[in-house]
Amino acid sequence: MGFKEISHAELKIKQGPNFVGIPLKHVGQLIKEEEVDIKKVEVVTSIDQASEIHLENDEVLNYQYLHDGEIKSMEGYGNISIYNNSSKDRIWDTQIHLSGTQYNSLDSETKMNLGIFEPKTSRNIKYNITNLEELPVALKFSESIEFLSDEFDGFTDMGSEGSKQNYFLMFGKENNLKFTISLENRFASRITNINLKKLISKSFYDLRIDTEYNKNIKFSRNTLDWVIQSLDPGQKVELSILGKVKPMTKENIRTGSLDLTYTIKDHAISGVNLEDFSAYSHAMHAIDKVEIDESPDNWRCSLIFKNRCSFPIKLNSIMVADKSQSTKFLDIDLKDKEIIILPGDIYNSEKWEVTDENEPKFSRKLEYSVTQKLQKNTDVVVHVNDEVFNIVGLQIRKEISEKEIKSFEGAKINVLLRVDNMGTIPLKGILLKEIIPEDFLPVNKITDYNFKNSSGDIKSDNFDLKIIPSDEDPSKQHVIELVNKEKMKNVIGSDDFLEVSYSFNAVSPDNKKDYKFPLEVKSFYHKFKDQTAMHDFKYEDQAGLRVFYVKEDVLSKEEEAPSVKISHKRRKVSIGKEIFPGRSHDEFAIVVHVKNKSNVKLDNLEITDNFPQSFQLISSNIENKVTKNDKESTNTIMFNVDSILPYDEKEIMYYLKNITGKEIQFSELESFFYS
Amino acid sequence: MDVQYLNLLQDKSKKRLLYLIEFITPKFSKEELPNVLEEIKGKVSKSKTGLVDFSKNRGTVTDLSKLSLDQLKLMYQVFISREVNDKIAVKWRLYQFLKYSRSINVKNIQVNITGDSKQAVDLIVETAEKEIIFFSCFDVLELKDYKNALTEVIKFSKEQKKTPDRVIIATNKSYRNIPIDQPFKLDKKEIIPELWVELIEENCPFNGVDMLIVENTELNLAGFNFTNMEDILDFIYNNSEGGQVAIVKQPGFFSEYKSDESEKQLIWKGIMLKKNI
Repeated sequence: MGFKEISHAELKIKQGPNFVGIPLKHVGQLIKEEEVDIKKVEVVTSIDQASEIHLENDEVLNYQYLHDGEIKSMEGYGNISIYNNSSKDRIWDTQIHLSGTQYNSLDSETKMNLGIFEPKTSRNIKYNITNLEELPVALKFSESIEFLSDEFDGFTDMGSEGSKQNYFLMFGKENNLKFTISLENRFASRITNINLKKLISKSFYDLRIDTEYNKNIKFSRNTLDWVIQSLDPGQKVELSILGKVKPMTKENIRTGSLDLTYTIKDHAISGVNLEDFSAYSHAMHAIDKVEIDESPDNWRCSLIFKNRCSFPIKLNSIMVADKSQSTKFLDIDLKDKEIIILPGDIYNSEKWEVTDENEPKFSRKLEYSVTQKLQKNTDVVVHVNDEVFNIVGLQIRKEISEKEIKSFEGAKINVLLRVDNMGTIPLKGILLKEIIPEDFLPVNKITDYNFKNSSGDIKSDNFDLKIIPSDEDPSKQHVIELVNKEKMKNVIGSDDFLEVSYSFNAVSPDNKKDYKFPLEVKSFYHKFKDQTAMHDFKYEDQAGLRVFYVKEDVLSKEEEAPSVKISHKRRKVSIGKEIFPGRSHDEFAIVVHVKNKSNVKLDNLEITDNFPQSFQLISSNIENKVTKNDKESTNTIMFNVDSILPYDEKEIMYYLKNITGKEIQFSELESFFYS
Repeated sequence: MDVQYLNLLQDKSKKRLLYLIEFITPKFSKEELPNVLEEIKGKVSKSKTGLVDFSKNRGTVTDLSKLSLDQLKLMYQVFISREVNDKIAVKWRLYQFLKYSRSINVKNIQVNITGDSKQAVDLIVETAEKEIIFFSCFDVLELKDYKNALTEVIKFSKEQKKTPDRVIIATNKSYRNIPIDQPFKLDKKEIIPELWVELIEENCPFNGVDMLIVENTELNLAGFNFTNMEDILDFIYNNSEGGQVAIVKQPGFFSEYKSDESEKQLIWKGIMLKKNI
């Protein structure tokens, strides 16, 4: 018990027993009464009861396009419907001759014999249209997608004709897009009933329409429907849809497919032509023979033709001759003359006279046919596939090994750059540009730069290094440019990263200057789908924009770009020594004051003092180490202090005892101090 | 369909009709069958009118042998030969289809039994996604019927105080001038009606008189229950465990004439992945 949903387009064109009427048109029994009435008026005024042989030639072209305008598939077929709308009269010996079969599969050489048509019956002749590629494009349509943000160079010219473009959206950012659909009638006749349906992804918001045809446009279920009554030859209309989209995941956002239907009235686009149609219906013809009153054996004759059917009949030729056909009394070719005999009307020929004792006999031949009305129409159904937007986005991280260096001192600074591809499409090219300010110098060998991705190390000969200027003058600013070589097909694949580590040298950084190390990353994406080569261009040229979309990311803000603090650090230390009498006359207390008078922290201080070997160390307030120096008859005492903070002081105290028993002067102890 | 019209059926005996009708799937329950028969006969008692949900008793078995010859004939004409294509016949065939169709995730079906062959809404379906769908059935859908149906649907919606999310027009045949792409307003809601036709697949690999056997299951199905391949696949999906499925046909099994072509033929083989696998 299968039921199936049928779309509006399918309802119009689908064939099968579920659908009443031929595709797209209602002919035959389906002609409405009012339509028939109009046709009666068109034929002739006096035939209220006139019937009609109605010929309707409908052609349907069905195209499927890819988004870039390339035809994916196409089919075309035609139908000629012959309908006898008389309620009482049949027609017979119906013959049709069609020509102009350049685009269709009909046999143009012979007439087709269609036989008898009973009242209210119809018959269809179906044919396929071949050589579709040679048919003219009646309604030229195009859709371009513009990217209204300026963060993406070369992007705004998307949609150029005939190119297989890639479409992009920026990850995590609001993308402003403009879809422009234009339609142009390139046919010699008016095109009518133009219906355009454009699907718009639900991811878009703030949708706006920009056109002068607002009243014929409506939005529903993310579908835009645009109805245009007609377009005259050469007339062009345009519609713009503005919208925003902000992809936050690697989602599939589509450009939206497009469906278009239109009608070309009074034309069968394949060029099929009705050369001739003929059919007989009820008609009576006779020869009226009257013997002349005043002239016996002389006969005045004429031909009478009476239309006894409900169709108008056109007389094509009349020939009346004697029995042997050697003498022709009437021989009239009426094909080019519009002699129409209306239902019930009588045609009387010219009279001729013959002499015959008996009633004269004639042979006669009449060619006539019921008239017909022909209507032609071509319906075109177009479906344009959509595309998926590629998502592009980079996450850039830069780390510098030294957070702080000393002013006016040389230092090596290590840099780690990491670029993560957050998008759905690989990067085809990358340009890393770092500015090294004066007082610093970059390293100028590519082998000193290390490259890595998720598969491991990348050989550095895959990249070119340029230092601008190429000298080693630290008084100038230098620019490091790292560019991948053409041999790298994908510089960073989707879900991959590129890590670059290198170093540069601080030569004589000045703490009074503010140094910045901005990083600029240009990423290059193929503009076209079938693009393989990198093309010969320099990244800094505008020429690259012909083949690449270029996205520029700059790491310059303080929170993004790491900085190096240049601190002006100078040591200033004061060491004092005091000697005090001890608890007894042979003991001495020695105090050493170590004062850090600078703004820098002092680390790993080593303080040594000497005292004569006639003294013995009793104690000290911090750990010590005593070594004998027999040559000079002295002992050396050494103290280690881990650190003294800026403007702080440390006091070291130790006690000595005279072990000789002799009296000793303070001055002997003073002279030995060393630190 | 290659099932003979009743008048052409040589053996119109009760036994023969009963044999065929027992193969109608899905089976009608005890509660459903009397209503089906009364409606297609056009004699509905007033006490039985209204919106009825039969889903609770769907498992109950019906004894078809108690049906009269006339009733069997009606069943044959509506569900087997499908020579009766009026609105009520379409309605009950649609009801059968909705029991297994995968196009709608049916939670329950309410059948509108009125005894009036011009009623606007024939079935109301509530889906698992809590959508309300109104179905309006036709034999041949003409433009004036369609316009009238939409007006009546609006009226029905107000009377029942139910606003549908979708409106589906189901028909056996349709004229081509139905503007189904045009939305209509119902209770401030814009609805685009949908059109379903009782689609008979051209070049269908089986026909009405064939027996369709789903291998490794107990499903032996009469071809006359289905009009296209997708139709039978939906039924098997809902009535089997899925996995590897092979459908073979026994040509002419239900034919009155013995055929030499009795050899089984494979018509479909594939894997059905059910959601819970």
